[in-house]
Amino acid sequence: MLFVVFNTPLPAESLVVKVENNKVILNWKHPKVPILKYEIYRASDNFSKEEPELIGQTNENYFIDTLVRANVNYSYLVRAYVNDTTYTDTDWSNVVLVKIEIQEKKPWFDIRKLPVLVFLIIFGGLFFFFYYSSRLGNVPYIRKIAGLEAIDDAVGRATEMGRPIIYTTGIGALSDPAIIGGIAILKYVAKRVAGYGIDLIVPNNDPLIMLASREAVKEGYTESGRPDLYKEENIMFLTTQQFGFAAGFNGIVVREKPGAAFYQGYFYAESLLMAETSYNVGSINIAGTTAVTQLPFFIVSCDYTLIGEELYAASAYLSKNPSEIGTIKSEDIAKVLLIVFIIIGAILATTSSFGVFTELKDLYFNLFKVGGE
Amino acid sequence: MQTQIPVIVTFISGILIMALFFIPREPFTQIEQLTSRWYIIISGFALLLGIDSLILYHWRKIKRRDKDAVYSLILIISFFIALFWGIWAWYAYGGPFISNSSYLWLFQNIYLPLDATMFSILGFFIASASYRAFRARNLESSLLLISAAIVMMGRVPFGGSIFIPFFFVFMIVAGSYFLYIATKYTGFNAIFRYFLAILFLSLGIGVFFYSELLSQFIPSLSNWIMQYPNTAGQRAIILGLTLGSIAFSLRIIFGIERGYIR
Amino acid sequence: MRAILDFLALIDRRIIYAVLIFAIILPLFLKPTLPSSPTKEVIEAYNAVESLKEDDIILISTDYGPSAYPELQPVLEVVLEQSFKKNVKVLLMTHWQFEGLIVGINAIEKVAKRYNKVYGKDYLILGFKPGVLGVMIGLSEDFRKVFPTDYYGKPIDSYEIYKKLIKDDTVLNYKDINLLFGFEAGATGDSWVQIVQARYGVKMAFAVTAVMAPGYFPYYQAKQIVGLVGGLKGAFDYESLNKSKGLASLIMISQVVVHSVILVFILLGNVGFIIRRILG
Repeated sequence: MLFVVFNTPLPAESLVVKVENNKVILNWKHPKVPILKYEIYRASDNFSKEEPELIGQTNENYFIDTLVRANVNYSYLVRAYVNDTTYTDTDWSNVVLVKIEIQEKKPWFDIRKLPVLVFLIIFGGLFFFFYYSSRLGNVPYIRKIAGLEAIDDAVGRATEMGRPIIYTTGIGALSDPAIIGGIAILKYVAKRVAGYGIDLIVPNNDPLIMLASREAVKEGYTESGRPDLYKEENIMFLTTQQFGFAAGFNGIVVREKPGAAFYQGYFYAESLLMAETSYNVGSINIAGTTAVTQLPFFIVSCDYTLIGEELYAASAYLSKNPSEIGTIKSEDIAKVLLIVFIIIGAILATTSSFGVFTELKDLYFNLFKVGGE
Repeated sequence: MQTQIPVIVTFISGILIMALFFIPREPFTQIEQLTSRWYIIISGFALLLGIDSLILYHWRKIKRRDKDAVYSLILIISFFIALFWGIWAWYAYGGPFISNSSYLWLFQNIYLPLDATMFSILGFFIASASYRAFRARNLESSLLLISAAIVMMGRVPFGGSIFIPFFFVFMIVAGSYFLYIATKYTGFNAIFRYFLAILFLSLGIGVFFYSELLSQFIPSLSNWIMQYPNTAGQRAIILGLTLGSIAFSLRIIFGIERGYIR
Repeated sequence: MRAILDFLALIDRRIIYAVLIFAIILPLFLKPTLPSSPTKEVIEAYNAVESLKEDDIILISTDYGPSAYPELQPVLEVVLEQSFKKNVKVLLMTHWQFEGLIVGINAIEKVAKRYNKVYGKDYLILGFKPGVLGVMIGLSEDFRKVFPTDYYGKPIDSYEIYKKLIKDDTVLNYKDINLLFGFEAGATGDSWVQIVQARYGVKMAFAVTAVMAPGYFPYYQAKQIVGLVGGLKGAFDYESLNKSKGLASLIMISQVVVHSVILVFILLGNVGFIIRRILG
């Protein structure tokens, strides 16, 4: 008897149907018995209530009907199934009408993002101008970056002490340019290390970065003519957890006492934990990061720190490839342009606060306005 | 071939993602989410490789009976305990982080305290690192030192009053130093150092007489340093950083820079 | 003399650590009442919560773990207290790491008990969902898209609170949220501002760790967020605005002493360094 009682389900309760943003949204309450699924039926001008169309099924207690046409009357019914054969229907809902024509298609270009495109074109133009001009022999002067010059010394010193070198790209994803920059420097370090035959340890917190690091180190060793010295197990994965990674890294540092420690990539609060530990075991610390909040920590605990964009410039700098170096110049020109824009803006903002050039200021500020969605 | 294909793939996907930023039209708006989903799937598989590398590394250490092999043993044992406990929690509670799961107990009472401990070590390291780094080696580092002290004291109640004696002692010592060092120079260099000496000494003495005023002034000065010089510096670095990352991305997209691939 | 100066200039780090431990622990026994001088951005964050009315909705995102507990938990507790006092409906979620949920639940259950608030009627724990961008866009359409069930596995619309949450609408999304209070220790706060504030114009206030506070000042200055509570000092000021004495009021004294001790060490180091230089 009891079995039968359970098999006679109650209908889904209080079905509410509303039109919103050219969609029809159905909401109802779950009945008190467990439901296998709901089927949603729709009646319209073309489908009578006796022969409605089945438009979908769900396990949730709501449904959004997106396939509606304008100016058609719709009514809905929800069928609640307890098992494959037993079901109960709700009453037909109120009739709803979608009035507005489905929105016309969005344009091919978001006009509010025009300032970004203009800047990109200007910057791209500068970029390729300097790229080709340096290929033609006009290689621009690039200032010495102390942190990169120190790599050779650090590797040499570790060799003299007979200690390994530890290298990390920090925490992040392979899609982060800072990490890619770090891997490019890793390849250079590997090339140097290969000549001396000391160990290069690279703990990672992301398996994909580990794979990329392995490739870079292997390539570095091969280019130096010592592929036999490459040890794959030295480039290992620790954990994806931030402080777990820092603890594992510090453990390696304390046990192996590296002669040099490199921090090139992206870092969070673990930066000082790691750098201070390697400082305390007496290694030369060379850091480089684009994480602005972590720069102060690296600057106090490291011998050399690449600040922000220096990390991006590093691989061009180390490769000594003229066409790569040329493109760095485009950054400087763009920076000068930005500074000029900022100064003009600051002057206009100041004068307009005294009531002078107010309209000019509004016009100027609107030029740089980038709209979101 | 081995370098050509990755460069071509990078070029096409890079240009595509860049273009997507400007196209508000379906289905292009979905592509960015789609690619990030692909990335998550690929990294899921790569995680297996990562675990393989971790276990193998420590297994080798144990087999070689390295001097630190015991740590490796602990790591492997903890790894498998956490793994199987988690799997068991799926079976027993329907998920490791369901509110009454015993795995949650493991997480709350072992993992979380360890995590908090690692972070709190940071406080000690900041102390030893700042002790080493904040030295009045020259004018710039003296300015850094003074502003660091102001910000530190501006961040705590009574900071102003605590700051006064430190400031007084430092200014007197630094002033005497420049007074002494100035005698070793001639011409402009000497005048500049005399000027600094007088500045520091008078600041020190001034503080002595107007300590009440200064102690009220410190918190707002600390806020001013954070909001203006600090924010301005950060903005400058971020601007340079952004330009650098655009140029770097363009170098990668157009295959000019291949340092990251073979 | 020389030996003393050398010692001052090169104090062993272990001595610093030892002194620091005592400087942290001993003041905790003093329990003094410290004066507070809240800054503008903290007051504005406090007022943003104070201005909520009965049945308004506050969405709390606890994107931090135990590492940021001392800095952020006190603020969270006061925000919950303010909300429960005024019968504001509270939604709790995290999209950073699972730890965020644990610290969040810790606070909400403690404060709810004090104000006799019932789960499912006055507050709801949505849960943890990774995948920042997808979560944020999903929430803009329908919260049920991201959180079909709450932390305890029941559909969120099966709770009594849901009818109040959706107001006159049929779905719950950002339009219904009166204030988003983010507790941030990672990069997720930037996404709240850059995606949700920029696209959907949700009113936001943040409590962040001291290290991250400088990074949030530009948002505050650009009026993208209405208030900002930074670090332990911010938490202490926030508690004092509420005239309550919580964790931050208790441990603030440690920070006062530790900052002074670090300054003493820096000063000693400099005195040793400078006099050594003068003596040559």
